Amino acid sequence: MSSTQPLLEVKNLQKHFPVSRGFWGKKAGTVRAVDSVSLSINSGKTLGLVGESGCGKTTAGRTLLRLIEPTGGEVLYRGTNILKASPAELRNYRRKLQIVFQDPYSSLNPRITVGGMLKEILQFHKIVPVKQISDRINELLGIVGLAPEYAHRYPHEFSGGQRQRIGIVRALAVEPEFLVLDEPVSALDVSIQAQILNLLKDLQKRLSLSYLFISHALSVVDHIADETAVMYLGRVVESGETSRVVSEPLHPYTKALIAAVPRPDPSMRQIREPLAGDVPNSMNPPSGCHFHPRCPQARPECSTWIYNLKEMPDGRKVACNLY
Amino acid sequence: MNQIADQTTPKQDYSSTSLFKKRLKKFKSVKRGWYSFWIILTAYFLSFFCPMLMNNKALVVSYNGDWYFPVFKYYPSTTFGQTEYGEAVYRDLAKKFDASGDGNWLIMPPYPFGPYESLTDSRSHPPNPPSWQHWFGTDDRGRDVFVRLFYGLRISLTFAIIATTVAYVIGISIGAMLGYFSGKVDLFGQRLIEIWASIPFLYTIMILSSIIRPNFYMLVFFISVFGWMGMTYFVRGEFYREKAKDYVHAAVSMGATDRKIVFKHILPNALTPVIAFGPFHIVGDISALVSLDYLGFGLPPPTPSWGELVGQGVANIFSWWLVLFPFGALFITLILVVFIGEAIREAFDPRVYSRLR
Repeated sequence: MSSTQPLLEVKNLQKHFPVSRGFWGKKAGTVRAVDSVSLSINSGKTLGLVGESGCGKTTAGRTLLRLIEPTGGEVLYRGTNILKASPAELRNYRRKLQIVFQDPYSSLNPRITVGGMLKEILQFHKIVPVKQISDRINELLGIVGLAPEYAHRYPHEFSGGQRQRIGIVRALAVEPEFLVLDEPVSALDVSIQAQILNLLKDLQKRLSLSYLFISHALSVVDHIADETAVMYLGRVVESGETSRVVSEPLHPYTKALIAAVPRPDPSMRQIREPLAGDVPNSMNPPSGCHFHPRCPQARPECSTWIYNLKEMPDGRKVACNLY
Repeated sequence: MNQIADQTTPKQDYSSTSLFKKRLKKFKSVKRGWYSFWIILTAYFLSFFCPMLMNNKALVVSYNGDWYFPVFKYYPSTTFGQTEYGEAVYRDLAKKFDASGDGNWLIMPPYPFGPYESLTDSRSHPPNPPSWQHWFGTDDRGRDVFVRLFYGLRISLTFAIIATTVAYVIGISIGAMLGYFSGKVDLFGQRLIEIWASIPFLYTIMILSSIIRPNFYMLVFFISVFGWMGMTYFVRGEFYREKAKDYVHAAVSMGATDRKIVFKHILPNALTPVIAFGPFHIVGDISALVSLDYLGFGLPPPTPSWGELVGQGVANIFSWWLVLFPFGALFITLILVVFIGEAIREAFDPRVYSRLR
């Protein structure tokens, strides 16, 4: 295995949802939730995936693990396409690729204790011999900073932050290499957010994990991600090293996103031009560049422009008519 | 290492309460339901010992040095030197033993009358009003109403519990299937259920009963195959809701099989409405059996059934004991079960103060 090969490479991933209307289910249109997403994540690194609500970032994350079956594209894990994997192969991949969900309240089964949940996973995948299961559970809980006694508790007896730790430990139970973190901190208080983010960073170092960190908050991604991809209406519009994307954004949409980040320092306050309009209906997206109706730098030819993610001299990729 | 602030102090009570324990506690706290539960349970438990508590057969007979147990075994009357045709008449035998004083003895049940026994030896014409001997009087064939009510309780409750269980198993499985697989399975499945549900079940059972005389288990079968449709709507809806939750996705991402996801993850979370509805379903099944028996399409006579007694009450409206006691028993049983249902519903209610004032 060559060291330059990315751990996970997503090529042109697509997920279209047919929308049907009426009794006979006549096809009324297609929601292109994920229209064209290409990403690559290197071993031990974090890729942030940013975008507005409804831009398809969560769908992209779940499609990648085949929690939702994709319509097209490729997901290459160490060079093999997991979208073509048989059910038996898929089970192996699922040991390596895991997910942490956004809502810590709905992501834990309210009728199973934390220990029971972990035990089931450890047994199912035969991670450790039966005799060592309870030791391993204690160890796992320790990894995310929970007391071993918590194994006997039910999810409703935990706080939001603790539940998210449990969500993380569930994903870690199968000893994965790669985690999809689907807005893991959005449902939490700011103080708890920082704890969870630090925990995730710490775990990444200790267990050499790779993350796909999905978030709508650029500030959070800036904190945790090595690279960032910005999504708009199912397409990646810009991707590259986080520091560069944040400090000198290329795509007008990225610029608008960065301008929208609130700054705690009044002297840094700048005149912001908020984006006009709303996110268009993804069933009927604008022609050409999806962003052109809201774009402050739009030109007439933007409405006929054909999507392509162009590589810039500094290694960044951007999908815009201006470059 | 980062500081972990929401780690609680190590010394504290780690005992945990499952949702079930919590709900049981809440169920107990609704006193009316809790007491109703115990009354019904006790009465139902006692009704299984009916043959030993109220029967015209002796519990033990000691006759010429031998021991006999007529409750469990049939003895012709000649065994004890009686001349009647058929089984021995133990109440007469008791009097005879007392009179002769030759060391033979027998123990009768506390209430020495049987459910099938016509007490026509009394001087008056049946139905006879309540007396010290027959607490609730006798019916128009001279059978003891109290005994028949108690035997009827066992039949009614057993019938309703079995029928509800069978209907639940069918309804929950089909509802779970519709909700989990959704799509076309759901669309066509639901239409079939709607067609099936539009068959008027009481009439269907009447027609079936007029062709074949149903026994207990056939009636259970009939009532349950016509009683499961309501469950599917609840379970289907719950499955739709639960399967969209992330814990199900988490199970999928762990590679769990469909069967495991349905039975281990979703089903326990989808049962709340059907469990809360259970007692009311039982009430419905008791009433269904009563109406069938009342109309004469139910259990074959001379089964001691409540519907048959209610029918007698209506036919002999001036024999007040035939009206009051069967209706009273039915009323009390139904209301107790409804109280249980109410308490269960309360126990499953996530809000603490949910009464509308």
